[in-house]
Amino acid sequence: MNGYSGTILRVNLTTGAVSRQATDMKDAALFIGARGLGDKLYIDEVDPKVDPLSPDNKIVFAPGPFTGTFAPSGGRYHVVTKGPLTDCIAGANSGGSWGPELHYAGYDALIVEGKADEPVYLWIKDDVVEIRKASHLWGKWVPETTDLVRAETDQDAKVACIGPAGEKQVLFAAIMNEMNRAAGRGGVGAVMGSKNLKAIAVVGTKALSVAKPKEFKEAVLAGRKGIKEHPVGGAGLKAYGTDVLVNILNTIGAFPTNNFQDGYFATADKVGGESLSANELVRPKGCFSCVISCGRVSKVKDPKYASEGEGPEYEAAWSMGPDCGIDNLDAVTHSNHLCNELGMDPISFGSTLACAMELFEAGLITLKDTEGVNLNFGNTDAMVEMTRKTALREGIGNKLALGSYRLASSYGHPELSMTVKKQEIPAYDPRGVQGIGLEYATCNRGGCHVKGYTIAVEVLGCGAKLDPHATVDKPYWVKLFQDLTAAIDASGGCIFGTFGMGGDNYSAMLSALTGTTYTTEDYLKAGERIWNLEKLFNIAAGFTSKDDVLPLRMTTLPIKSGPSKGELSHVPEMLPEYYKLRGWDEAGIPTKERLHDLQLA
Amino acid sequence: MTVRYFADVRKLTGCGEETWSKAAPELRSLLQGLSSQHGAAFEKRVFEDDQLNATIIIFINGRDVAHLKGLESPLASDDVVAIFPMVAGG
Repeated sequence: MNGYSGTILRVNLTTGAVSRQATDMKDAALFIGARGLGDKLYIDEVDPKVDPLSPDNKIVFAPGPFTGTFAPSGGRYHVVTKGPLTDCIAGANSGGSWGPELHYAGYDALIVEGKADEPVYLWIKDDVVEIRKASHLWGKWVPETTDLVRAETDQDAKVACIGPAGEKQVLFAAIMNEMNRAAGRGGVGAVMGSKNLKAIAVVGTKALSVAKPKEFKEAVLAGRKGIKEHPVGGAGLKAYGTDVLVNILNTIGAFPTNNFQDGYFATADKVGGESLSANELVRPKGCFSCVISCGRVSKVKDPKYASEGEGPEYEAAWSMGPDCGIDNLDAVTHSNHLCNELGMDPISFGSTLACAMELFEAGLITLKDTEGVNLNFGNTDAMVEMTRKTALREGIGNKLALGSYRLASSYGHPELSMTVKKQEIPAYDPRGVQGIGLEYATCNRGGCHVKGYTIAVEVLGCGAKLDPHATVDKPYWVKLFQDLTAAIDASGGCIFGTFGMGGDNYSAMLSALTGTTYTTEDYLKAGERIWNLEKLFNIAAGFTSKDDVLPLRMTTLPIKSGPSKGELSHVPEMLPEYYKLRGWDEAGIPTKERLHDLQLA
Repeated sequence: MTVRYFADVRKLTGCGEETWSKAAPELRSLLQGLSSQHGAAFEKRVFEDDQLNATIIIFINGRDVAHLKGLESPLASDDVVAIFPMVAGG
């Protein structure tokens, strides 16, 4: 039981029943925890064809074995459900201290099922679990909700909640914990909203046990040393945050601009990490047991956009900035604060707005549609206004709330949506960086960068230096990063730990913590097992290889200007090799032999 | 040519961008010239035992010099050289 609490908590919001079951330790050994164990629990119980916003859907919150220990940057929890934005498996994880608190309360996972008749929140204090009324909280923004729930429960409670975006089932609504940390992608917040579940407050006072304390301490200290001595993990991320990537991606011409109509933005530096640190950074901030501190506590002084909060990350600075033709960092940071307070994924929001701007400039969305708001690229005030309107589903915001695929489709032009599996692709142009395009196309949760972050080796030179324009060996690297990330997610770790730690560090920590021996190969195989389990769910939900594609623009419209001018994505050429490496057939279906080898059949 | 600096390299040069008009037929010459101008701290940041420091990334017209000819990468007067420390995010 070392590294695990040994109990799964289940709350049925339809009946009000609260029950517990023992953690299946065989499953724990195979799927580790968090993303992996959460996937296993969810997929065993839910029909893949389920309507994500129906009471039949469930939502799982799961810390991993590291979560709550002093494993470096190992304090994350994972949310697993079927995503309303994508209709495929949605996994989103978050840092802060909520995950450790749930683990300390005695739970390896919380399964929420059914739907409450009226708004409620959960109050978990160790073995005491209450479903409390939350009508008075409905409509409140994230900061006020968090404060009120703490006042009603415990001032030290850790609170995960939704804002108005989740209540109104914006399809890319986030779950926010401790106000500013987000399980952001896929619309997991909308699933909470569909269940009338406003918040989950937790206080945990129990301990976690370690199988081999001396070995665990040694493995943790070795990992911490590796991170602290790494130029990125030890210094760069703390100094400049993730937004430092703006200039490097723009320098290579892989910085999507104006809804991916180009890959270079002349004034990108204005929204980069250097500008953020110089003008808005209050202090760096880390999550539980973090030795990196990439978080940004930020403040905008310009009276027009004055606000305080956290962020933006690189992705948000891009999506609400240059992807919308905007270089005003004050406005972008202000809108990022709004996204946090309203509970909304800024990547999908910004990219959806960029799509709307292209539709507007093409004359498809009209001033009548926007109630007189000019949605041209570069309209900073419109971007800020649309942030609020989208979360509150007011006016044209009601259409933006559906994401860019459904928005563009409603105007007869789905090809203007920059999505994979209906989820907006992030801030690395796949025409200028080939491997990340393959990650976008094959990611089980739709267009996403963090589940296989090949940018580390294709652009940043961390671990290897690959030519971003080349396709050779990229399928190998994509699979490797996807499998390693799945294992780290399942452990409760942060992928930024890889800026200083490798699979050997993670497997050593997990082995000493749990008492189950994982070689580095075992650890990667657990990640591969998780990847295949998610893939099987998506296949059962109706997804095929035809869904493993990038937006048409990526393979037909070359980048117009900058260093990657003329480049296109070559995902179609890389996909067959990727399938082969995974042990899948030509249609992207896992073979029986591979599934047997992974103990999934 | 244009030389651009990013992140903590800017602190060593005191500027984000400058024009370099002295002779620099290849990257090594340029970095030696810049080291003379910006001092020992800059030199230590970009060179390591006469090789390119492993924690520095340099692009010439958007191409990482690791995929060109490293320190011997040829330069032209209209090139844009960008100097980054190793950075990351996501």
